[in-house]
Amino acid sequence: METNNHSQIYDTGYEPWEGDRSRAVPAWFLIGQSGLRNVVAASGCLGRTIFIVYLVVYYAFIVLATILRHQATNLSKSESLSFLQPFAESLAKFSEASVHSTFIMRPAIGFLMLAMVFYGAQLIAKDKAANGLQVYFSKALDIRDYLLGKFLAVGAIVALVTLVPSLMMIGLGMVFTTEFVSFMREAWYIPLSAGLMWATFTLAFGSFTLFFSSCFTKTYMASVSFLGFMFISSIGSFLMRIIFGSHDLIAGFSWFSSLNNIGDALFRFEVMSTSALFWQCFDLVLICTAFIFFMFRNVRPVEVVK
Amino acid sequence: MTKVEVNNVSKWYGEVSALNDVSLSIGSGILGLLGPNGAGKSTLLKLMGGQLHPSLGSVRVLDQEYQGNHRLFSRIGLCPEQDALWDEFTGEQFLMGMLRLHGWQASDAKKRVSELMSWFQLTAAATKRVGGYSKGMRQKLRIAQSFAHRPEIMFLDEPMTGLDASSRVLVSDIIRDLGEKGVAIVVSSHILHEVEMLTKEMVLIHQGQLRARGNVYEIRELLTDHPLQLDMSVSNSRQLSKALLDCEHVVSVELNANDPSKLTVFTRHQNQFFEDLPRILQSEDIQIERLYAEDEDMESVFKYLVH
Repeated sequence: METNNHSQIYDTGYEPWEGDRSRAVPAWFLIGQSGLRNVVAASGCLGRTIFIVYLVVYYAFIVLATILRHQATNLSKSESLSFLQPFAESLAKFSEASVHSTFIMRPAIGFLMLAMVFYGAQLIAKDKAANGLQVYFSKALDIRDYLLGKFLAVGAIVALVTLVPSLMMIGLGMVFTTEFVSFMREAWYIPLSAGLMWATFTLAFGSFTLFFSSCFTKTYMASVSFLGFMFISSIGSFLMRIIFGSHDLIAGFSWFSSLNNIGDALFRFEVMSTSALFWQCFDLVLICTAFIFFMFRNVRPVEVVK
Repeated sequence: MTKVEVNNVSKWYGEVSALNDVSLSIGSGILGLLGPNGAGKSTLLKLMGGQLHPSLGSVRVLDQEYQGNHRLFSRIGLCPEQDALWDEFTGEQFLMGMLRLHGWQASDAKKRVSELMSWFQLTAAATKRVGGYSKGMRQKLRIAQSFAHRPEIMFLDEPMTGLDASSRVLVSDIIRDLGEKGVAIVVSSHILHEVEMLTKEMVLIHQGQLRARGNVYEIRELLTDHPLQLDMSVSNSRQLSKALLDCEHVVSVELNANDPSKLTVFTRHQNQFFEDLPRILQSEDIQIERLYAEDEDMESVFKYLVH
């Protein structure tokens, strides 16, 4: 067959390579962005609505509670709002750190469990199922870019229930406080604590979820395994304490209490036991490192035959 | 100029050997990689495309190695055999994402995506979710992503799978255009006429080993154990068969019992035969009506080589 019988319409306008392209946006950012967009689009209308409604209600509560807390003394001046004064005064008794810890950290763990089951567990499994790893790794990026992007996607979800409400509370506090100087003295370190908590939650939830996500091509298997791991780690820690006696090393394997304690330490500088906190941090780092190591091994451009 | 250099490469999956001591160099233009299912074509393609590392030997692309050199991927394009698309994205979003991973600015990428969609006749479906695409449309999108970023080398694994007749012509034209413009393209297929549509240059692979390389006619010439079969219709078949049997390269001649004008000639050397034939026809004053090489196509060449 002759090779020059095609029409002009098929001229691909090919131009030779012009040397290194300077990347406009880092590859890991693009991976994170597309991963998040992909799982949100795949979650369906009902799933998206539930999460959006939850966040709207949660943020509304944060805004209302923060304003009331800082305006407790002024509520008596308004007859129509005076019925809120007892509630506002009880809120005002708490320190800024306690409010952050109560309003953010504990709800965040519950929300993130659900978000990781529905969204996080899909982040790598969906790429594997779609043979997307082959396509991604034929582009100018390496496995570190890919995993960093996936952690970024997890980090974006974590930020919705840690950094965002924390900054809202600080911002509203600065606007509505009646004692600005004492508020700033009390709250100056809170953004830093919130940032550290965001990093800790992103590392922990990211490692747990992405590891299981990297093991499967079926997203429900990744979700079930993640849930199973969280459940078994709590039960297992409890059973081990019965068998081997109470030791901080064993207690550290219960992720719910570990994350709670680490969060408390970050916000309130209150540590019930220094030894327990050390072992909880140690266990967390150990497991996260192991999971990330195996994640590197699992993420390969292997073809899934359909 | 050599663009891909495969040196004594072997690849094992556990105890299974997928490739065994393969060496190959590839320059500009289109090269067909042919072999039956399980021959090792996809493994070789993945090794050349940096998706796998060889168990033994080395692969150099544009005089560089893949190991720790992911920027090299900006200069190659890969179209995998299996469906590799995200159903939730639109065609446009998918191609945009792929281009931006190669470092394209959003504005440049948008223009390029528009061009690609037009060439592949996907403009109407550009903003629709890939999940709603037909098999052929998905295949075209996969091919589009492999050369969207203007690579210097392309590896296409079974690129015609799932395409209808008109799409095959379209994709063939696009691939040939790229080949003519100097892009090195390796096309793997187990369907011979698909490769013949694109190129006469090919590599035959079977059971993890390269069996032959070159133009289909040259490869046919190498097959001295398998005589070339030529069907002819002439004015005097008996006289011609007698003259041909005097030639050293002619193995045998069969006369057709039903039609005295027809005969079948078996020769070991195609080129020698075509040099001798005009001389014989002239000296014996024989008119030729028809000459057809029965097994000159790739199908028969391929059968000979792998069996």
